[in-house]
Amino acid sequence: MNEPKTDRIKIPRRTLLKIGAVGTAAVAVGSASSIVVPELRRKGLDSANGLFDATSIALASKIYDETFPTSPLILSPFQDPLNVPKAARPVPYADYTSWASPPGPGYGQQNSYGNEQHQKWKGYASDPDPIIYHIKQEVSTHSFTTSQVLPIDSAGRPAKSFDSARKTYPAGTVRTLPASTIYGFNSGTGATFPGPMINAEYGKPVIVRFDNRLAENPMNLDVQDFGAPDRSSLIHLHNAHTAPESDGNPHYSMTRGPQHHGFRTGDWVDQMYLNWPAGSDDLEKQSFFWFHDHRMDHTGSNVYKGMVGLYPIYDPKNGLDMGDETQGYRLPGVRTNNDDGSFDVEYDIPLALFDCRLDDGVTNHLDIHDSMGEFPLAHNPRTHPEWWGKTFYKHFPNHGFVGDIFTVNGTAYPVLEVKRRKYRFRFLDCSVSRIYELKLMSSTQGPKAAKDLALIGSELQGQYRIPDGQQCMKFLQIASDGGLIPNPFWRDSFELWPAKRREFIVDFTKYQDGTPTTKGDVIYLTNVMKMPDGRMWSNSSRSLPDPNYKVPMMKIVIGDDAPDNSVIPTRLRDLPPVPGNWKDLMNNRLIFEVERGTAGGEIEWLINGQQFNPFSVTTSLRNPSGNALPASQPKGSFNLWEIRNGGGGWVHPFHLHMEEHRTMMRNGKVVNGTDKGHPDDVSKEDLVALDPGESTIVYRGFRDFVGPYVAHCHNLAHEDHAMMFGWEIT
Amino acid sequence: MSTVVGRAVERLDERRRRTQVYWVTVASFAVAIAYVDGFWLTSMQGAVGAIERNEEPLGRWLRDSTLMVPLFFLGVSAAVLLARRWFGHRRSWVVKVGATALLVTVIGSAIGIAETAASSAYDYRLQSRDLTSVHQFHQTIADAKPGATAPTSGCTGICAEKQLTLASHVKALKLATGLLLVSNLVVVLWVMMFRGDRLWRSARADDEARVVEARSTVEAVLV
Repeated sequence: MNEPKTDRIKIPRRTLLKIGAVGTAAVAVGSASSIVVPELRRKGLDSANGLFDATSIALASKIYDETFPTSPLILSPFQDPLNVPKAARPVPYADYTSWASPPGPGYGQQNSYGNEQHQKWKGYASDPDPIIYHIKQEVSTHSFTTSQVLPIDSAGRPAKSFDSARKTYPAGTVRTLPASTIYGFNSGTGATFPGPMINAEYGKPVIVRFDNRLAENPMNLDVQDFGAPDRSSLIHLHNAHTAPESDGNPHYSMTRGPQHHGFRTGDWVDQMYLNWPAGSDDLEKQSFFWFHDHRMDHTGSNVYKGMVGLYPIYDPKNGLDMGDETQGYRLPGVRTNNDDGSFDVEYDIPLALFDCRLDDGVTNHLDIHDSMGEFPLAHNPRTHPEWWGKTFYKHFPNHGFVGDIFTVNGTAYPVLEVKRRKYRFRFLDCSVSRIYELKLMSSTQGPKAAKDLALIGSELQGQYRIPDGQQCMKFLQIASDGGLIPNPFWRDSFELWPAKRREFIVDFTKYQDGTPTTKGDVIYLTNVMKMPDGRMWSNSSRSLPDPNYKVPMMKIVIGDDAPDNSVIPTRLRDLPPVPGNWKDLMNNRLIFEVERGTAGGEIEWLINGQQFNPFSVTTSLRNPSGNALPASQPKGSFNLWEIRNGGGGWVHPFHLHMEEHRTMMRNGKVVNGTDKGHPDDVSKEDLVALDPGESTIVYRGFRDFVGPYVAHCHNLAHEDHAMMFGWEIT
Repeated sequence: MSTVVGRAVERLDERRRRTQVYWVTVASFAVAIAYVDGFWLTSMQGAVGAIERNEEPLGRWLRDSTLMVPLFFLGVSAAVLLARRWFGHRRSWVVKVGATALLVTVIGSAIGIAETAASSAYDYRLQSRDLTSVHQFHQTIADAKPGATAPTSGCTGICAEKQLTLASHVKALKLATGLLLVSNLVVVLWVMMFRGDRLWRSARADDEARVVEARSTVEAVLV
């Protein structure tokens, strides 16, 4: 029987191999362009060097230890009321004049070293003598919640827990959180987090005597393993128009005054806040400052440990913005004057956002500062079951430090009952690294614990979700870092970067579709930006929105009606004019590039390839005129500074001390308000938001004072690891 | 005399036969491994390297990789020649090709690892120098007050920072070793496939094989 004849073509092995090789290459190239390239683009790394940068980031993540604890789950969120701060009370004249070293304008009266003098005692000649506040820095305690908690692990499963005696509690045991140890500000009512709020006014100078009492620790609290090891501190009013001796910056403190990283325990300094606009120009007036620690190398840990205070500043001139909604701009606010000169403003609420992590007792504490011997009593590296439930900090994280519990004014997941009327909210991000994107949302089903939605790992950050959340209201933005803006505008959401301030009016009488609200309605202030680590967001409205990431941070309950004399403004404060020939400064501008580099140890974040040197001013990169100029500006001058993000896939909130700036160009284009990623570029700011690979050119002034200042990244993990430079006014 | 000459000629002929490798394949291996290893070296330097050596990574990768090609060429040549000697007589194609791929990978990776180690050592040297110069104003232990008593002995301060830096480099080198081995194996196998497993010439049959291959390729394309 004959087999059927077939015309079989035999392809040699060699040919098959070649075809296979070409096919494999085609698949690899196809996969790369469909998976890798979009991912690089999303991270701002779609450049010739981007693949290398992305790989370096991934490798660094593998090389550096990045273990963080999972905080216990707060079981009853949105029960604790929001802490609405009351104004701090000044020190009566009779009291401070009896101090051993009362404040004064003479030489030697500015600090406990007796080696400094206030450059100015008054802003306007007509200003009264300063109002005096006395703020002690003290070791104290703070509780983020009164709720019971369920200890969980990174997979959301119940986990064992511990107490201060290291006793172990089995998994599934519901616990009460111990209070965390803080380094807090005490203005007379006890050290709190956040610290006191000073309601200031233009034309009324304030002196705050910062008195470092951190050595006293009367409650004998365990201060754990973070915070400046020598407990020195250096307080900066961000970003007031202040002289260097009152600015609280390490370029100053290392070379003058204390000649140290900060003011040591037992020392005091009188910080003069003139409440006076740069150049005496009303258009330079601002509206919301905050004060925080700026101690060299330990700013992040000191801020995280509680050194945060609030400083809204009002403008009484012509009643424009004095906290009285019946006059001036008629922004929401009902003012009550206290008998000591301070005042409170109802319906005008600062909201300080802060994220933290609580120790799970099983995460190893391992940080470069342990090996440097800064916290010998902690005996790290090791676990600390006795610190279970207290704040955990990693001083030298790979990208930055983000927490998994979100707090507002020091309370995790608070509730605020509002009247049916308009409110003014002053938002501040006082987190170490986290950026937020906030929306106002309603939810019929309410918050669900992330662990109950089968989420694990970094998806547990924020602890709760509102899966059915829908935006229900808009924000009317009225101010940015630099104060009131000329043209208020409506926003569905807004980003809040570390140290940035944004002010909004929210009308709680109606929803965005015009439907009136009713008593008992619930709205959630919701974070929709997912940021699993301190590098940058992985998802936000402007980059790969994640419809499932809706983390409620604060519950707002609509209450009774209340009188409302405020109006929705259409025009507020004009911007100071920029000369038409500003481009003439382009060729000789100063250029600063922020980048990641490694000079060994913890020197990791650099500017122009240099780490922070507090003893000198830095030098600009070579500008188009061919000059590499020192960062030294004559008093009274204006200049263009270019701030570049040197790449590598990190975002940098870059803060320039002293005067507010105007962003003139971003990525080579003149700012015209159409960049949806940076709508605030058209306002005054003190913090440049740099996406990966971006560059900005800002116009800024150098008026009224002389001496050393700094500029730095306000991702505090970056700042503490050398991403800062010194500059000066001569 | 003629015997001596004859032996020399024989030896030369033997050597010629022994070195009848496909140099294009060897060069392909060398170039591919040099650029792949250069990619990891550049990326690793971006992760843990000294700031003084920070530069635009693409340019650095092209420059360093190109400079390393001759070294990789020598290494790969040695690997292929050894493979020919050790496994050339084996009947099994899989053993022959697999063993050669492994040998090329191991030797190529060894060069890559040595290059990475040398780079890390240089980085560490630079970083140690920087640490020494800057430690003065980052040091805070000396005047530590309550709760932070400086230990009196042991490796602390700058010593600890240097140790940490060294530990990072060691960890990076370990990571690089794994990455180089895996990626080199992948790239070697791919080059082998692309070159149609042409590693060395088998006496006389080579020309015949080339004709057959050409004919087959044409047929395959036509079909």
